[in-house]
Amino acid sequence: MKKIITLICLASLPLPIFAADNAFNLLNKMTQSLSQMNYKGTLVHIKNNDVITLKVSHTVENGDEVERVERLNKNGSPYSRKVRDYSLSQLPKFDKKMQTVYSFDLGNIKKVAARPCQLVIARPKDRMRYLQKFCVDTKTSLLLDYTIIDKSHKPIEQFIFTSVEILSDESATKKASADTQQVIASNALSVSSDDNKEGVINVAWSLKKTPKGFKLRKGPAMEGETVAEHYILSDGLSSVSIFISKKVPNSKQTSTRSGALNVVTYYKEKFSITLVGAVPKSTLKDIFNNLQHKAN
Amino acid sequence: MSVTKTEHLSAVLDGEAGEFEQRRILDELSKDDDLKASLSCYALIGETMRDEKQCSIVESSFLQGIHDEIDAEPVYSQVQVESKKVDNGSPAWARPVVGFAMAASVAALGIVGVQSYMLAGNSEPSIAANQHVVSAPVMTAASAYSHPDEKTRNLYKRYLDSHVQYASTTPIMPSVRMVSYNSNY
Repeated sequence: MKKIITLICLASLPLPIFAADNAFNLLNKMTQSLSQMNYKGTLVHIKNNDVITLKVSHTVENGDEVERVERLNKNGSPYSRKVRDYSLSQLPKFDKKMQTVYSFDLGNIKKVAARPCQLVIARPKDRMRYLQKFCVDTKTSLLLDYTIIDKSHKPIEQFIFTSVEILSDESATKKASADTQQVIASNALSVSSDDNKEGVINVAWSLKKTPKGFKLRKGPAMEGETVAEHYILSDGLSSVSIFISKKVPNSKQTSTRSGALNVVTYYKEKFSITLVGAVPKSTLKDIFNNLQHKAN
Repeated sequence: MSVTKTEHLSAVLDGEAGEFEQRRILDELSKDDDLKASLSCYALIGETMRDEKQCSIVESSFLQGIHDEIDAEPVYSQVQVESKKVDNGSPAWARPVVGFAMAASVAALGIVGVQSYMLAGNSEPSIAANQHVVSAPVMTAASAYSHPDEKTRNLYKRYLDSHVQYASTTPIMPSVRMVSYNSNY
């Protein structure tokens, strides 16, 4: 009798728990592969009404990641970047806490760039973020297809490899050395990894209510012509940057969009507040509405 | 791969395909490797041609402008939706009941006519309150967005660069977004 009860209990365990665990494991492997593997290929970036074809390569040399992105048949020099300073810390880290705002499911096996890949879906539990689909190479755990889908179930941005080649360590090192002259080192300013006290940005600004699942941290201040404080809200899969600078007279509220990425500038008192993030515009507005200046 | 598929793909790239067709082609793209190869070729051909004519820049910002205008429109549509709800929300069987209720209201008004006249001053605020509810979501100056000018776009590029470097959680090469965004303008 006990055996039967045990069997019934086991059978009644919800399958989504196992599916979510598998999805987590696969996404974590994917994160490692993206930062540690050497690969190159042709990537198609679809957003708005644009289809952009890019030649990309990712190599690791002495612990430094080098991304090289070149838009095909477009004027201008290739865009290269040494990403060690930020990439490893910024790649999504999948942990169980994310299940408060996303549900993770495994989908079908598809074929992308002639390689079989496992579909993983991160479905938001509210309307503050977008649904994200990952198709992860079943052999190498490399991300081959990444799609962002909006509230009306329409794909608004997609990155898809049409061909990909996994490089050996030796060939990757040779390539990285050859490209050293063109590499642009990332900003040397360090990013504070410490999360700020809940909802508090700095002495002058605070968030009345931090959006569910998001954590706040401080980014490096922007110098130059426009000096701006930079604050980052992230739930691990979606992130929003808040830039606060002094308002220029006669400024107007502006906004623009590029695929899933929204950029909006609002004004509060004598400050200009620009929010940047791959989240719906309504989320950016919610965050802005929750910003309060301590002088009030 | 059938000829029809490539024709549809070409239509999608030319912006001549409907929404359903676009979604179908995107689904097909995830299954059909030949179609993906065609997509690469077509995109390349398209970009080469657009480069020569220097029109992709204009097209992008033009479409962006339309998207932004649409985004700035929600208030009008909200009001319309609300009024539609009032008009169409009641089922057909309710119409005679509503008619009867209206007739009863007229009769009631006749009975309490004098009292209503005396209290007319008091009823005004409630009408005003109702109007206020309807007009509450009317667009204020604060919700209107302008398309960014060149100076603002340059500033946005700096912000975006900083966002990509320090905040982006895009798992697939964050730099791709920088390249794509820069080529929009």
